[in-house]
Amino acid sequence: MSDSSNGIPAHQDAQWFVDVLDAMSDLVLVKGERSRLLWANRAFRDYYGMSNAELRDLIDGPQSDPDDTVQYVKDDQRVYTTGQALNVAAEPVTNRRGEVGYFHTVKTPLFDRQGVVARTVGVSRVIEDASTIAGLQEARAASKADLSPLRALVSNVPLPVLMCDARLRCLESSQAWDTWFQCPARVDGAIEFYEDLFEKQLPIAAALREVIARDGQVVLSALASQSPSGHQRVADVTVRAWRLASGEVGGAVAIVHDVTERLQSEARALQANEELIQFNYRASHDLRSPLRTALGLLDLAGAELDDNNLDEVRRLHRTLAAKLDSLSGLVEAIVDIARADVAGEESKRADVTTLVEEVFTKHAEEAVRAKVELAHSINASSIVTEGRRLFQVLDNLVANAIKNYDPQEARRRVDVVNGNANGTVWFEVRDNGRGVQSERDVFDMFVRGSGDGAGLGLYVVRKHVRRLGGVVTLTSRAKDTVFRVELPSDRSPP
Amino acid sequence: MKRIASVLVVDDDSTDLFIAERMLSRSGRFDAIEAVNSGDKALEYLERGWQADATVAPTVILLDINMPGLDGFDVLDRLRVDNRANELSVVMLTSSAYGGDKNRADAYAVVKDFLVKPLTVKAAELLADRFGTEPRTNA
Repeated sequence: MSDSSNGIPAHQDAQWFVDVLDAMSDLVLVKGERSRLLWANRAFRDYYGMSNAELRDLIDGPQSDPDDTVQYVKDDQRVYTTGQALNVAAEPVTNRRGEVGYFHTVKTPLFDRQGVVARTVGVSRVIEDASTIAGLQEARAASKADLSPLRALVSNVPLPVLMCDARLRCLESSQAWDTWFQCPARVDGAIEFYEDLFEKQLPIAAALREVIARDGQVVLSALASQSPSGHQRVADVTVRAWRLASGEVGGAVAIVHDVTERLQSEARALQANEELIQFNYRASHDLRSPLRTALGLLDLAGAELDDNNLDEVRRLHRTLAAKLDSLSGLVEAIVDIARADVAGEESKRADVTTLVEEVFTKHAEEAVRAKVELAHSINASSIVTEGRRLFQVLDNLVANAIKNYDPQEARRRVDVVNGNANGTVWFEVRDNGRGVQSERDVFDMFVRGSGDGAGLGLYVVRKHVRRLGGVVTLTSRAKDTVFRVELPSDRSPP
Repeated sequence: MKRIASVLVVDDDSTDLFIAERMLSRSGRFDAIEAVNSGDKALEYLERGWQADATVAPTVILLDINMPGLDGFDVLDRLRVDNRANELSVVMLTSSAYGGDKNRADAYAVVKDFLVKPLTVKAAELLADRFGTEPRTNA
């Protein structure tokens, strides 16, 4: 029981204190962390028309002017951070009927055992003098913290913007903000704390507090943020303090600039540039090389002609023609790369069997010369895609498969097999040729899997497949080589 | 015993290999001309020569840069750490006009020259003057 030295009769309990507080005509209010109401005396409850159970955990009553509440929260915050009592000479408080009364309020901190502010207690005495009230009404009309223009501005900004008060309560958000977070800052007028709603997605609470404390602005660059649907995105966030009409800092606004696409574009541009540099080096080599060889052949032919070695000249002439033919193939491949990069045709339903047979017809002569048997087994006969790109993909893969036949193999074959699974149509081009010798990624530019091609065919294949929203993989490098392409079965525009 | 003028041409392009071989043989000033189409085969050939009879091992190599498998620089890296290659001369013969390649090649002591393809009649004669046998006199 209590110590009799403090003057309280030893036999009294908590109800005794409650009765004392309830007997007072002043409004007495205890608030806890984040300005949440913990307890109010009878005078306060009568003024608000609410029971303690109804008041508990609210920030303020529903009848209150939200802009007044911002000021209360701001004042609470000051008591919490300074640990000193605050004397508010006059503050407007709205009663249960919506009428505004004026009170002289003293807010005092209550400390826990560690000396940290744990609660605040506010005692408000009504101001009754008519002339004082008239003066206060006039002053309130002139300097009321009317936040409605700022709120209207925030809600209409076509960027994700959030306005918080000094305690990081979310006062207003733009539609773009609600869309970006897929979560409105306010539902049915309820005001929530930033930490509870958004901190997980965008951890800027510390920055908001910092700018409020020093009336400043910070720009947080390239913050990673996970969208509610799990996508990684990146934002530059500007956080700055806003002020009340009194000149005091009322809170902070956060403006989000989604830079995900910009960063992705930059990464794509960097990659494209890197590819271009590599392409430039290799293409200049691979274009120069046969040209220099052709010049060498001409020089040699000239010398042989001088010596009247006509048979040798004829041989050199044939070699020169073949070299220029191969150079022409390389130029075609480079043109194919340019084509693969430009926007394609519209996706349409394509008949896979017809497409594969067209590819086979195109390569029929080479296949006969190489004694390679072409066969297909089509199980998914229809796909909605860009037919021309798909044709080029299969065309390149089949041409490669034929070209890489194994001379030791008695029964040389190239099979195109396809099927569908989970919204994708897959194709496999299989051959029993020499296999892929290169250890490098054969889809990279200028990597020759085997043979003497330009090393661009599979690079073009991958470009087309990516454009079609699919993937291409080399699933077997061995003698039984398998290239697998997986494409969305329906790529019609949304 | 006098070493013979023996040249090894290394190039993955069969036509370039043929041109170089033919140009060098037209000069008539090399005792032996061997051609291989990869860096690996070049090292194998050198190894065999060194083990069998150092006097007939190649004295000069015409070496291409861009080749699948071991490229020209890979071959130079192997030669740099092999004492037996000390008396060898390498002439780069490439279609690369990229300055970086020339600078890189010049950093190898074994590299004596950097030629851009094609190997012309004239260039072959200059090579013969440096690395071949004495020209026959038209007496």
